[in-house]
Amino acid sequence: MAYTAISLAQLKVDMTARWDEAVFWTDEEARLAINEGLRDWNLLVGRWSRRIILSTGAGTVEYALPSTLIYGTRLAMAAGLPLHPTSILELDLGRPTWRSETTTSGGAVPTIPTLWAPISLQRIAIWPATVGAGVNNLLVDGVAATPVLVENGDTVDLGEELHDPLLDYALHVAAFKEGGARWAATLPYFQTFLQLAAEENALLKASKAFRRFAGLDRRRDLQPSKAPPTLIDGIAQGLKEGS
Amino acid sequence: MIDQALLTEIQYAVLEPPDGGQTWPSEIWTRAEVLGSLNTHLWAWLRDTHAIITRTELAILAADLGIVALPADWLATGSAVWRTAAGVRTPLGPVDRFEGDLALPTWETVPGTPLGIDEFEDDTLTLKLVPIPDADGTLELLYVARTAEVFGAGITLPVPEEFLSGIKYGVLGGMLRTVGRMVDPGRAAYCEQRYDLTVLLTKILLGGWA
Repeated sequence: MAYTAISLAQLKVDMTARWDEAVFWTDEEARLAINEGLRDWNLLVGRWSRRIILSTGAGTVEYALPSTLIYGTRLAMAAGLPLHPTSILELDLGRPTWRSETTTSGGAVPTIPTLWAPISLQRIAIWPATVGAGVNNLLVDGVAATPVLVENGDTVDLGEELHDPLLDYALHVAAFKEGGARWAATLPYFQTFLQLAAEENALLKASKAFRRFAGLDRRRDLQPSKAPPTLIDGIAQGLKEGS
Repeated sequence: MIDQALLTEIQYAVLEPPDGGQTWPSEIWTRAEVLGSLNTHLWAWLRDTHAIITRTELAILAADLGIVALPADWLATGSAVWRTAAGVRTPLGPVDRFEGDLALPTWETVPGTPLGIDEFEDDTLTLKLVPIPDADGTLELLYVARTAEVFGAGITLPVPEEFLSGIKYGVLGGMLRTVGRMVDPGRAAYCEQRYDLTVLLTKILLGGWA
């Protein structure tokens, strides 16, 4: 479906339309709930992304990302070749000398950086380090900060298919303060939100723990546990056979 | 996001008048209690996920027999590397004394190139190099630092906004477990799961590529 720039005012109207009775939230609560939905969606699937350009330092393996990126997802040299993702643990275990190696180390060390690893959200490492300082030679793709809607005229780019789950989720957030049956009735909205995220982000789907959160782990349904037959089972069976 | 904005979201969720967390008129929770819980959850998330790492280099003297004083704001170690004066680096893995004793029985008496760090069997905020170093060197330490305490004074929170829903629900979980008029084990359990979900998502983001 098409991407559309939808305004905060329209999102609020649509959210109100999803509730049959008098709304139980204020205008500000609706704004906050919609913003919470946007930031959670960005965390789950990395919807808003951007590219930044870094310059490499001589012999430097660790780089801090600017605060405009929440985390990096892909690195490439400006000359065109991408770096393959790995982890610090793998580098330490597989090549203990990696931190001291540069593109002129020779031997098995490549002549251009070929691997990168996240150290934390906003710190990465590359291997091997460039022997000299480079200017604007490292491209980092990553997830950017979520847009925050403040004024009613503020707009956000969203696929139309996301409007419904986003507003359902905002309703779930707004209903939290109510508790009880009203909030419980919105719990499936949260689960649907997570399931849609798993459809978009394969990393989530690959996580057994996440699948459990999202209600996607259906093994239990396929293999129901069976207790030993009881007297009541016997009575029920007898009634069936008698009928 | 500033701390007051997150506190306002928390106030909306528990039917307190929203004022940036300045007052809690229901008297079920005190302001200090909520701020304490907010700080606790921020630090716990940082420690549990290693999402934000600080780098430091510590000069180590061989005469110190491998005992290293950690930075005062240390919460957890991300990774450590031993660098000799000649610039040769050795990654240091986590070890305990039992492992050290079995693998290198002389680790406390015969100096060598450190191969591991033992963090939890000495005084707090110290670690020990295994084996003790045979020369002066540098410890390149990536660690999780304890961020400045949040006081609800309009300071930007030290965590990217995308992760703050989890922190918010973590705080709400504790609040809804407080014995009082608002106690609600069902919603508290949901909130605790939301915090756990955010920790899980952070770990997936940081570990999912390799």
